[in-house]
Amino acid sequence: MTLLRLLFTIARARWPWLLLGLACAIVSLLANAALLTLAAWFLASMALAGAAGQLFNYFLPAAGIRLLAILRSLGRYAERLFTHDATLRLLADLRVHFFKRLEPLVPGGLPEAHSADLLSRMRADIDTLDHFYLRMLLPALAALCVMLCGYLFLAAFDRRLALAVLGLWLAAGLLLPWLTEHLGREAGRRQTRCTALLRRQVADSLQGLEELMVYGAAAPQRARVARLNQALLQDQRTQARLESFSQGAVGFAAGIAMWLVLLAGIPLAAAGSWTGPTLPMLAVFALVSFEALQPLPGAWRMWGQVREAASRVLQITAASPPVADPDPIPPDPEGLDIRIRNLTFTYPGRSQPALNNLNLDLPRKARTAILGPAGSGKTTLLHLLMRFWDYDQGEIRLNGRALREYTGEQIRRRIAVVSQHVFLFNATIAENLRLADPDATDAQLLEAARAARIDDFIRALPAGLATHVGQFGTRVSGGQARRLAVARALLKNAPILILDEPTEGLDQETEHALWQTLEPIMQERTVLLITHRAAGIEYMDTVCTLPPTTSGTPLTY
Amino acid sequence: MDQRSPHGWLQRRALPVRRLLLLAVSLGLAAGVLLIVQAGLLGAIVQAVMFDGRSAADVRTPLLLLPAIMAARFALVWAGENCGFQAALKVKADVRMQLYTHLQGMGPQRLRARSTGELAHQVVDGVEGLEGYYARFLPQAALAALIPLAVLAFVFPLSLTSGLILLGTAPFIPLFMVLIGGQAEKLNQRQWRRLAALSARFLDSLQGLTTIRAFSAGGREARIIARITDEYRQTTISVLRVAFLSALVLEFLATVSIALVAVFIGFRLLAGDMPFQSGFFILLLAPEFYLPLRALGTQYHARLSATAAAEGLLAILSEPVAYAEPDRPERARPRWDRVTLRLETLGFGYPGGAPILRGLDLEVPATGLTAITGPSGTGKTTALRLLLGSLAPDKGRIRVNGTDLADLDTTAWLAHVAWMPQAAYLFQGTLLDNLLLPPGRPPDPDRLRQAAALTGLDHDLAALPRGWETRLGEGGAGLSGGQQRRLALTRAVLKGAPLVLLDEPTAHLDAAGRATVVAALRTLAGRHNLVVATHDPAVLAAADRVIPLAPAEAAP
Repeated sequence: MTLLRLLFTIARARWPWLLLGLACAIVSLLANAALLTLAAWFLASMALAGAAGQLFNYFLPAAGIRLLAILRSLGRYAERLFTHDATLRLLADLRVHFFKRLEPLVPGGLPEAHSADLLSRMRADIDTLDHFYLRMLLPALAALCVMLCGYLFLAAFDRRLALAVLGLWLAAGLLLPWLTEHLGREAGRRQTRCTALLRRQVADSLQGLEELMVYGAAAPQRARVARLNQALLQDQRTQARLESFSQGAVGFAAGIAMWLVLLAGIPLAAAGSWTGPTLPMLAVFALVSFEALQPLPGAWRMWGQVREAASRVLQITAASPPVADPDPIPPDPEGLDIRIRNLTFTYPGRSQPALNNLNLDLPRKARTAILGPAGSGKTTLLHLLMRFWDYDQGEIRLNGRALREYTGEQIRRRIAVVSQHVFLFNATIAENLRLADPDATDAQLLEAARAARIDDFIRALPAGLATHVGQFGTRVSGGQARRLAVARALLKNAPILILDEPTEGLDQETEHALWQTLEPIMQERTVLLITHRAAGIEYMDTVCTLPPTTSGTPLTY
Repeated sequence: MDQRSPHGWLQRRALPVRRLLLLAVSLGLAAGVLLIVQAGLLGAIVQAVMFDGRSAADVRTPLLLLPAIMAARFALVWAGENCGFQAALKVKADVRMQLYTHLQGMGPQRLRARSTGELAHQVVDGVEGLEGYYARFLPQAALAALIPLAVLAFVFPLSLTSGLILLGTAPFIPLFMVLIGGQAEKLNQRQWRRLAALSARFLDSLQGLTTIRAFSAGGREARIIARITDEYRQTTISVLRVAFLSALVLEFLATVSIALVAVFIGFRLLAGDMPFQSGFFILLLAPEFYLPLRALGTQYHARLSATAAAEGLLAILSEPVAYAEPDRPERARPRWDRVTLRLETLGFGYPGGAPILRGLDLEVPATGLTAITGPSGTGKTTALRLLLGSLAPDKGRIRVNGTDLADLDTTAWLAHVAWMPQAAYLFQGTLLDNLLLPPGRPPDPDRLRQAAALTGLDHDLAALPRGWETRLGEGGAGLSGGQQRRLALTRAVLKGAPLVLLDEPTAHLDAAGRATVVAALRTLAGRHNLVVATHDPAVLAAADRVIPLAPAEAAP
């Protein structure tokens, strides 16, 4: 039910165009049925008139046949244009909505989600939904209208016959789709899951190929992918069998409808209660009336797949973020004194707290180092300060007010982070730097790069700021990536600077140089250094030591 | 046929399934012929009742024959369609594995420069794009030639003019299809490339979402996503518009011709030069004449998307393979218990960059800890990857127990090496899965315990309620940086390979963790040939040999 509501809510903004498309579809379908029905009647009447040597006004029906031919073609064209345009628009809306809902869920709300899986949802699953509107919903509504018109038409000649043909229509348009959907449901659901799993396994095997090869696991991994491929094939095979069955079955139902017209009509025509041309006209009508139903079984067979896709989208759009923002939005914090009292935090599903009863003061423009072994909750503290998670007990106060009284954005705008894990986008250096300030000019970017001592490197590149960094920043070294992160933090120009093991993984010389770079930047800022070894604490005013508790989760910036 | 042409490639892929395709066409043709028979019977019955004054009893035989023909047609359509689908499924499954094998063969070094999102998209969704070509287009193309011929064979003897109208309009349908199709094909191919680029862009946004949030850039990113999806929508609709236009032309030609035939026959009937039965039969056949041609028009788009998909797949398949599969037979496949290394004037530079290593000479005995050190950018990691064989030296050679590494079979050589890169890849799965132990054998609990105790992972395991069965998220999510490091090191230790290559083994570790790892390195160095890249003084102090790489060596 929630799924149907989702599907209809999405469509709400575009309903006038969808309805217009529906009207065109109905006109086009009725025109085609009318064209052949009228032609059959016309031929029979002409033949009868010819045999009896009578006159027959052929202008009107002949013109009608031509008009219907044009109506049919144009109606079809307009229908396709309107419905496709409306559907593409509503899917584009949905994709943006999906991204907006996803954003506050990361990293806290979705610890298990693989980015390739999220990509599947955002791209392929949302694309699958176009099937619902274009091939299921609108054709079904159009078929219903055609059935109603057809029933009224047939009932004018013989009510019992009309009821029998209606039964066949319902069998082909309702029972058959239900049956094929029912039989193919499991396979459809498995297919969507299998495809997502396959995408993930392929992404894993490509990214981890070096490890797989060194540890002799490439062949087993290939076998795993091959097994998934076979499983997918098996499900598609089931689906294909059902699809071909329904293709044949609708044609069969149309034939039987025509046969019923003959069975019922021959005695009526012989008895003279039907006029001459009625029998061929209705026989042809029975045949062509099934055009509207032809696509339905094949389309509704996809219902399982559509439902699975919709529920995967819904899992994200309906999830509640781990940190709720206050409403109404309070005025921006003015001071910058951070005071942490009795702070305790346990990750969901973990038994031991990641942070236990922490007390810490970070006065304005002071430099504080937190020194603690791995697993003492340093990264967790960063998560809590950045409002990626909400704390359980104790409090964090910013200028006297609890941190949770502000929105996450208000807090994060005031904090810049330089971390050992630097995430660089697969884009140019300039685009990566502009993340912090979209309006920065090239001169400002180079100025920040100069302060971070990476400008020489950038200028030496043939494309300069427009150089693409490779996937995961592979084309820049660890030290260079760290410097880009420093430049990014500078551009953000936040009053609070958090250094999360900023020199980890760098050699001593580079480490020393980085601290030289950071020194002027730390002036006039509140600085929090998070580290597990004494590196850089000579630049700090106070050092606070954390006792070991348990593990946190790593995070990339 | 050109080896690189997507059409030629698609056609060659049909060869292994030609029997199924042929069967699909034969069954479809038989169903088409039965439809003509059905129309003939209907015409005869109506003629008998309307004009010859026959009763229901007189037409009992043809009336009973009709449902039998319909049932037979049902079976033929079902079987025929199914054959086409099965052919397509087989091609898709085969191509997907071919592509996967090829990507594996390209090797990690070449893959690192590519977007994984785009490649995974090609392997999974790109291949799906081939379905319509084999399931529908190929059988339909044959039927579009055969069924209209069969219809004409019946129409011509009855009415020359009707036959000529049908015959005259028929060639326009494929003609327009080709004219408009050429334009659509170009648009469509561009659209496929756009879709792949869109996927790559989305994946990047999703992977960097935490960074986006840290910079309060979510709203901006959402606007960018809105913009690129909207651009994608606009180009999609412009591709569709061309497709719909071609459908309109075909539809129009077909319907107007049917109307023409109907009106023309009407006048012949009025004039009395044709029996009603023949006229009615022709009217029933006229839509069936155009149906396969129109269906071909619809399926033409299946061909277009398949061509575009094939182009993307071919682009991958035409990239050179680094690791030939199977390996060249002349390469040696030795099995050594100990490995000594000799680097002879080794030189290497990345394409387009300055040389990183220039004439490195080095001898490494079968046991002991060798540390390669130097500032970042001097080629520590590069040296390890050269030893691993995932990079090939530009100059000089690496001798392993006297044999040139270039002459060794890749798989056979890698069996001698354990490797931990700086960012060791952790797979989604349990900790145990991530050890990448040889499959088919249950893991030996004692060995696991010993290895974990050696690297310090045993303490981490004790803190995890599910121990080895703890599941990891993407990129090792669920473990801290130090824990991930220890897990990767445990993986390297458990392999028990004679040569162990470690890149910065003590990074991300605290003092206690580093002490444990340095002790572990010493233990391992007693039995293995350990080569590590490091700048950690503790590791350097523990090393038997220190190889400093000076920045001077990297200077051009």
